[in-house]
Amino acid sequence: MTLDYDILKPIVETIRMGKTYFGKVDVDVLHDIDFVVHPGEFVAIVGQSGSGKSTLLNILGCLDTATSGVLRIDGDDVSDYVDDQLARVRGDKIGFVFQYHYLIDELTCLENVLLPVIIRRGGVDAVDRARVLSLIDRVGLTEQIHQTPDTMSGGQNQRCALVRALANEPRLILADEPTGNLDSRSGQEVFNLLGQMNRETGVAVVMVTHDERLASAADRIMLIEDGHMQRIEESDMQARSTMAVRRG
Amino acid sequence: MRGFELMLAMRHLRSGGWQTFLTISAVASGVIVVIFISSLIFGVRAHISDLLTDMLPAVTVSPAELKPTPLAQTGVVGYGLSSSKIELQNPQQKNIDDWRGVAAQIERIPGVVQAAPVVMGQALVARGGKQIGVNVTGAVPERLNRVQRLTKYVIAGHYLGLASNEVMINYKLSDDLSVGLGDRVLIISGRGVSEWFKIAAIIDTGEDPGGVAYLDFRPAQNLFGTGTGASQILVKCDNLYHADAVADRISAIYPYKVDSWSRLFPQFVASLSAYDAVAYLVSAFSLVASGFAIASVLIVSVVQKGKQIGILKGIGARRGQILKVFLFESLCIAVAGAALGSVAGCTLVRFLDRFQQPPTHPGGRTENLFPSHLTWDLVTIAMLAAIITTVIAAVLPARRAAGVNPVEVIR
Repeated sequence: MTLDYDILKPIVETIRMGKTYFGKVDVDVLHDIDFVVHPGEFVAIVGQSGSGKSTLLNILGCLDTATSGVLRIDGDDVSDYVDDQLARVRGDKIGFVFQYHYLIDELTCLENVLLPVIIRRGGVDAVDRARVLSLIDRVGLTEQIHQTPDTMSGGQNQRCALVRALANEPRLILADEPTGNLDSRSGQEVFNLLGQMNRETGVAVVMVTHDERLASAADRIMLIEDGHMQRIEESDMQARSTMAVRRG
Repeated sequence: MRGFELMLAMRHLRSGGWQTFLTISAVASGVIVVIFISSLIFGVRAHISDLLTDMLPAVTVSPAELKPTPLAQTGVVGYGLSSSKIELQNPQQKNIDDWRGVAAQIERIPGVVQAAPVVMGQALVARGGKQIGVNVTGAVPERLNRVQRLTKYVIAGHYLGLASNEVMINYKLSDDLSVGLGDRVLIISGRGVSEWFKIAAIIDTGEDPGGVAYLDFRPAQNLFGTGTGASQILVKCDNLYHADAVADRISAIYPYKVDSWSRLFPQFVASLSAYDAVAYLVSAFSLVASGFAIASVLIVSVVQKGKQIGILKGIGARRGQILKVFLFESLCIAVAGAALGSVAGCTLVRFLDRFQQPPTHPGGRTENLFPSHLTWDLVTIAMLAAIITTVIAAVLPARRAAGVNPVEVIR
């Protein structure tokens, strides 16, 4: 039997990672986070508002830096990387889907989707274009490729943002409440697409969500409470939410 | 699709609408002010220097005045008595006899355009019972006209091709004597020689306080008894400021008295330099002012685009790429503003050129109400300066954009 080394090598690995915001009063947001994500995994991160979920996602996405510990992306220790090095890691290996689509208003759907490829490689070739057009077709936006975000619906824009996140064939998708701004039907569509891409391309997905139903569909659920992270089972999550409802 | 920086910059400008138009207008206004003010200041300067160069030779070569020598130094034996008081001799008429050779040699000096031998003297011009004192200049008209642009100021008749029995007089003299073209006047030199001349031209420089008469070279020699000599050689240089160097070269070759206009009238040199300084200062201040306007508009643009910059960085854009987007944006604004401003500035100057001052007397010359001096050099420099200023003004906002922390703007 031969093992695929890439499957064994984590795409994300944190070792005792912490984050403190320094100010008049120092605020510890994350404490000693040990977290590993392997290729093809779909991990949901849950927790109350202010628990540190988004901060963790920003650090994993190299948008922010940890103040202690180690962060490895695809085996590379990026803890001491400077701005432009982190930008390269983001462009090469990570795709983002935010709660709001954050498409660029002045560009069409196709241009928005091709933008990460152009930023990364300085241009687009026929292969890139074909791949991106195929993704656009998969999410049902072929008719909208020449439309600007202001002429598309919220669900269409979020699907466009999902394709943009996948345009560079990243190893990791970080999704921060990607359905939070959508109605339930559109939200479900976007979530289903995220799951399909995860299964079909092997891209790892780390998704922050408040939606238990979506979280329960993930391979693993991680809970962040007061800056500490722990794995929970689906049943634990249901019990916790029931208790929260009773307390409420 | 190659490179996103220029494309995104162009889209920003297109979507900016009025904001883009106002920013381009700020650059254009700077260019208009620079072109307009500079061309007016340089126009006044050119007007003054034209007056200087049209009527004043850059260099005047005349025979040296003899310096008195004490008898004791003359070496004459037997002069026991000598005065200790040394006085200049009475002016004696001295001429440049070899004026052909001297003029030819002077014309070989680099920077010299023309050397015109002249005979100059004072005379009376009589008509009927009136006699008026005049300064007479005799020269080959074609040569003198290349040193002093007399034909530019001729208001009636012709100076070039002046015959030996013809004279050109100034407007004031013609007015005082009540004479016109074709009338004959008697010119009587200080030596008592007199000749009749027909008035072939009337000149009006607007500068002559008294009577002036221009003759051909030969009749002037006869009137003033210079024989075959010339009383002066007037020299024209290719550049107003080369006069001193040319004068020094002539002094080094010939033992004549050589004067340059800039040494005779140093105050003119100072005033011309002051005009230059004012033009440059006004231009610089205009550009700096428009630079601040552009910087502030671009800073607003950076703030407005904060989220977009954050998302660009989020999807992998590096600092240099973000910097380029905003520098391209400012470059497009600069080029469009400079082009618009140069067209508007030139049009404005050309429009003002149409306004003329009324002549001081019937048939007199008209002058521009706003003397302007518009050159391609000035327009090119104004455009380049505006483009450079705009791009420099954009560096700070662009650096600010490049330094945006994506986490702070994407929430």
